[in-house]
Amino acid sequence: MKTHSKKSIRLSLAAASCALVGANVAVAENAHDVGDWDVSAALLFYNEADRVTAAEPVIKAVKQLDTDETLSLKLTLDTLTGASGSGAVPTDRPQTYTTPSGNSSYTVNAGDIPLDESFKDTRVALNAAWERPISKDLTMVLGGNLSSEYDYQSLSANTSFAWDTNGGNTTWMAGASAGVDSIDPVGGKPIAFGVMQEADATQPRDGSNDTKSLFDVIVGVTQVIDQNSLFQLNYSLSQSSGYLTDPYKIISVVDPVTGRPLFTNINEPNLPTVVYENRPDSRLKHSIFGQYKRYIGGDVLDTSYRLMVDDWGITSHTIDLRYRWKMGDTLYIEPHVRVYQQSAADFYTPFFVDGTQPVAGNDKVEASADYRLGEFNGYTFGAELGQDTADNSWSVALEYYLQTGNEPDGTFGELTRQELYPDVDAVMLRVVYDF
Amino acid sequence: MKKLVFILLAGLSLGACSNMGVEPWERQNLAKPEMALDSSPLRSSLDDHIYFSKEASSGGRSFGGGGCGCN
Amino acid sequence: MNMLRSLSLIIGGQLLLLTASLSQASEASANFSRGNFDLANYEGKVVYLDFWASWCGPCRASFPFMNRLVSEYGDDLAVVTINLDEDADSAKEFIEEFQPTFPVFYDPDGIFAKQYKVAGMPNSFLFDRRGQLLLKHIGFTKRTPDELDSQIKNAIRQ
Repeated sequence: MKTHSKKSIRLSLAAASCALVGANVAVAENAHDVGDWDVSAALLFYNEADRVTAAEPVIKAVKQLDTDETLSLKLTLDTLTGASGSGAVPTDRPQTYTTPSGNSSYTVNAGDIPLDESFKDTRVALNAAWERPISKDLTMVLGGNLSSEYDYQSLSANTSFAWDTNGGNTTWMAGASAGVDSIDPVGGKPIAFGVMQEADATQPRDGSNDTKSLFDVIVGVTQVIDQNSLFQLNYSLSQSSGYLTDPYKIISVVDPVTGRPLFTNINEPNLPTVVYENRPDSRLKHSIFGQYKRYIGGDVLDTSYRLMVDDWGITSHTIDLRYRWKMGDTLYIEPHVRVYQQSAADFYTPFFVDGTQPVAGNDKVEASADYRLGEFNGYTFGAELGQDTADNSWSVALEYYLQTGNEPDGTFGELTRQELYPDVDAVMLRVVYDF
Repeated sequence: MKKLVFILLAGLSLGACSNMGVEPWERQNLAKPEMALDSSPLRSSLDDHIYFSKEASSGGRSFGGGGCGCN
Repeated sequence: MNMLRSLSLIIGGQLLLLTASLSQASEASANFSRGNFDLANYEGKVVYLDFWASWCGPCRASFPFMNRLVSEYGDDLAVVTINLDEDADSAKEFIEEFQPTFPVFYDPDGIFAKQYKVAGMPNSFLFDRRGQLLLKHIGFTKRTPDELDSQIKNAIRQ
């Protein structure tokens, strides 16, 4: 059984644990009396047909230290198996790629989109947050996050302040977080644009590990409109620097006439010419987020919009809409729609025409064929059924997520007969129980 | 960028309207758990996780405001 | 004839008083009275007036404290509360749970709240025996009883 790590999804998921400022703050659920522990648990099942399957149990406990002070602790376990697009292009003959460890290989059938080798991994994450008042109208949160898997560690701390004005109707907030991730890929980091070699040969990797640091700041305001509605508006700035490349993503090099990958390896004739990607060593994201909630005779409308613009050239829009329908005293059903749209990164490169690829080791050039940096739309449709009673509550949600994008420009020859950007869809089942 | 800043300032100036809002004793609907800005933090963090790993964007939310307004 | 009349008057009066005090002390739900709160009714006693609502989390912590005030200072201190729930049922459930030994007046339209300029939830006011305002307190935390105890003792001593 191969137990090497498959960084692709893992890196991103682990990095996601780095504080989203305020994300860990205990939110008052049912009235919890001083001294009470409120424990809740959730389980997420995520399944992409033929690709990634994940199961994520979470358990959270919030202690009500005083009527205005809480301590919250959360433990998340993340078990991931499966594969995701490696960045290489499909073609009309089988392709054999070398696994990240360099010890073995895997074959992709003609016409199939190459996926990273199957992987299995477990990640543990711990979050803590302490919320307390500092003065009459000022509240503070201090939080920390730690996550670990055998070759990726992440540590971050965050703080935020909320200032109530206008009789509690206008709340100003500001927050910041700082974190560092340590990445230790199998065999060490690949050399930018190094060419993948056949199994058991020396791979273009330099045997090293690396880190990346993250800084986030956020400012915002929440305004009560009337007895039944309020809105929130935030601006956040997020800076990451260090090793931002995905050490497992590759880019195919194709023949300028046929559009087929080059097959020039004498030891492994089915190994196409693919080079490792390289991303910039810094990224600055600006986001504006707005949310509006309205209480409508027992029902709740929740809608939000987020705009993100970064210096990688990506612009994204996210619209989220939920409507919580109250059925009877305690039951509810909540349909959910989310529409996401992003543009491609400046350096998004679905393939290299032979001759245009940078020389191995040239880390001044940036290119990546990772579909997650491409232009696509994401649609989520789902519904949640739940029950809230005075003592506890539960909910079950089923959601469908579809990622779909156009074929990239500039395809020719065999590339036009293949599907470089197939739709990816997933089904998610989420169960939450509040004890 | 200039457009972003403008939208943000316009939005923030709405918050400066001191005649918008309710009396402290009129917050019963706002105090309901389902009316909290993040009414299901476990759900939000699970979702954020999935979308962060599949898309190029993340985050946005914050805390503070709304709710009971007590203390 | 005069004797009978006086007797029936006395008995009638006693019966009225009896039903009045019964409705005051028996079920918690009977503690509700609409409007008609008047601070002047409590002249001669120190008054602790508290505005609360069932949806207010800290209010849950304040009720045991106010029950304790009644048992400790009952003769000198009048604990009076005004409920601001728009939904009477929610208030009744809260009262069932906390069993207050003090009266609750019902102010769903917030008339008294406006009059006393309630600035947060809960909001309590301490008045001396002559009805003069001594202090206002907003919110309720574990520190509140300590903060208020000495003030209340002082007011009672006057």
